[in-house]
Amino acid sequence: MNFVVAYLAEAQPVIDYYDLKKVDHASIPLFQNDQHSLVLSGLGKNSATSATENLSRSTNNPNGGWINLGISGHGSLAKGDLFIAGKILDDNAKETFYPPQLYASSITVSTLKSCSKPSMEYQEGMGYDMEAHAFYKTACQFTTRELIQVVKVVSDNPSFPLDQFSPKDAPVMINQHLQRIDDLVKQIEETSNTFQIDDKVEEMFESIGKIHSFSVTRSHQLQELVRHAKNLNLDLGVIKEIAQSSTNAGDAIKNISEFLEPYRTLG
Amino acid sequence: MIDTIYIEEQIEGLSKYQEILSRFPKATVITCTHYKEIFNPSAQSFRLQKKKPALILAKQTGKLVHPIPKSYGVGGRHNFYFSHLLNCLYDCRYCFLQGMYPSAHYLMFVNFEDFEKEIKNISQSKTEPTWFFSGYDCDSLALESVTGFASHFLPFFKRLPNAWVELRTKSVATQILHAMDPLPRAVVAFSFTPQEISSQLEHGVPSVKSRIRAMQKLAKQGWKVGLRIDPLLECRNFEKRYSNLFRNIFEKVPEHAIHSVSIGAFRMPKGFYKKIEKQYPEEKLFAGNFKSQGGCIAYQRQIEIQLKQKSVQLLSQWINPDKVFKCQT
Repeated sequence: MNFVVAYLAEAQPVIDYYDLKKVDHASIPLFQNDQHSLVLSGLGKNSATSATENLSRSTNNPNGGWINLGISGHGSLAKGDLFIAGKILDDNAKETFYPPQLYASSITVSTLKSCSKPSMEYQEGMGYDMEAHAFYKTACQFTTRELIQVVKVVSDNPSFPLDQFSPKDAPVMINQHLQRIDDLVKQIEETSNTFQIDDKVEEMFESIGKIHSFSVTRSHQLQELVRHAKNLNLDLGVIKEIAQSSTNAGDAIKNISEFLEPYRTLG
Repeated sequence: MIDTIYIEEQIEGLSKYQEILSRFPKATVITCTHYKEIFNPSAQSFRLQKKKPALILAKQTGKLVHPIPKSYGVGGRHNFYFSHLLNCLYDCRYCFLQGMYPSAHYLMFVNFEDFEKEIKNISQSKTEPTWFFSGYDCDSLALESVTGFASHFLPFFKRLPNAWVELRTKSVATQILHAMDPLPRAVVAFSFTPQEISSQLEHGVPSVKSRIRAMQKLAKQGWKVGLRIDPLLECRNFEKRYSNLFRNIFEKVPEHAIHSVSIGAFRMPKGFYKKIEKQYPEEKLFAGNFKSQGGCIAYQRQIEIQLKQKSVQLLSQWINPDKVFKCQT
């Protein structure tokens, strides 16, 4: 999972929960373990955009899941409540995002507006932050929208306005929802794993690609043939043998195609 | 079944919207300015959304009723289709909708009255029978409990003297049809592949046996039923499987109750095919004997001809060939 979080106070519970280690020589404030990466973005839209871009270059898995986590104001939810953004507006941009809600979760879904400066406005049913819209817009460049979510804990509302909020309270507020956040993280990661490239196909394609000199077009054809062979439950070792006994790339494509032909009928 | 409902702000006052919303009291409702904000953006995964589609309630504008592709009719000269719903409850791996739409959410157009106006105008402008097909971009009946489509439109079509309507379905949710008298100018058309193929490719679809049972019950009640053998798919034991399928159908459903049979081999616009193949790179279907021809991916010509000829031959044992229509690639 790739986390984008504005401040350390919001991030610390996540860093502790997943036992993330600070990456010493990174050009950005980056925390990682084998599975997760977290970047501190700082406040505001431009910071969120550049942090998300930077993390995409530093993470092991930019096509995996992305979460923007933090605190936010809200017009009707109680202080300390957790919500997930089902609609993300921006006070200066026309584009609205609707993160698809595919996950089984008890987290309340709410609209969220990203503002250019801290907001004391509290419209019924609306959350307020300063990063989500820019984060979402940027993360959409790296992966599919279903894998990008924005999760916030309410820090202020009409009863407890922003000027009464102390950043020192943020870790406790985030901490109490970590189990539910982790449930969501697991679901997003499980979903993301369904997109992983089939290693066996890739390995065999690369291995056969070294036997002959394949042009770009033939290379595409070869990759497709290897994939088809795998889908048809054929032994990929046999495909390699056919390539090895072929005289050149064109001959290999022809021979593999002919070999597959009788198996292409549905079972 | 539906946890999230998106609604266009402009339809909030429509009664149809209130009626549908009341069926999902626990759903999260999110408003939008236009359905395209949700349905059209890039970087969406049809495959992932299919796991848990949301419902989008919207108003369709522009032209609502369209001519069907040539050679897709079932005997009429004037043929149109209309779509109150985009996307389907079922998840058939060969379905073109996976390649046509960026989103798998159910997009329902609630302005039924606008569809009716256009259908009525077209129907009145023709002196000959005019066909209206309702199941091109969705299953006509599968989401009836959500949309109320058939219960709304069948009485409307009953009042149009020269309009024929086709409901195309893989559903067995036919209760609404049992509750009314059969319409003389309606055809309830069921799509089939042999059960062995259906089990591999038609995810979430009722069994062939239960669909035949539904068809039989409707036929008994007096509804005209149709058979849609589309797509025809090359498979092991093709002749035996399709022969069994036809026998199982025609032993239960009398020939006179069958209005028409249409047959079409698997074919798909190349762009759609590539998109679907990318979403399901492990799918065996896409390792089939297909060729790119004229912007379409279809079986090699010779295979297509063989599949169709064999099917027509098998069908001729059971039904008058005049009732069999071939969809061309």
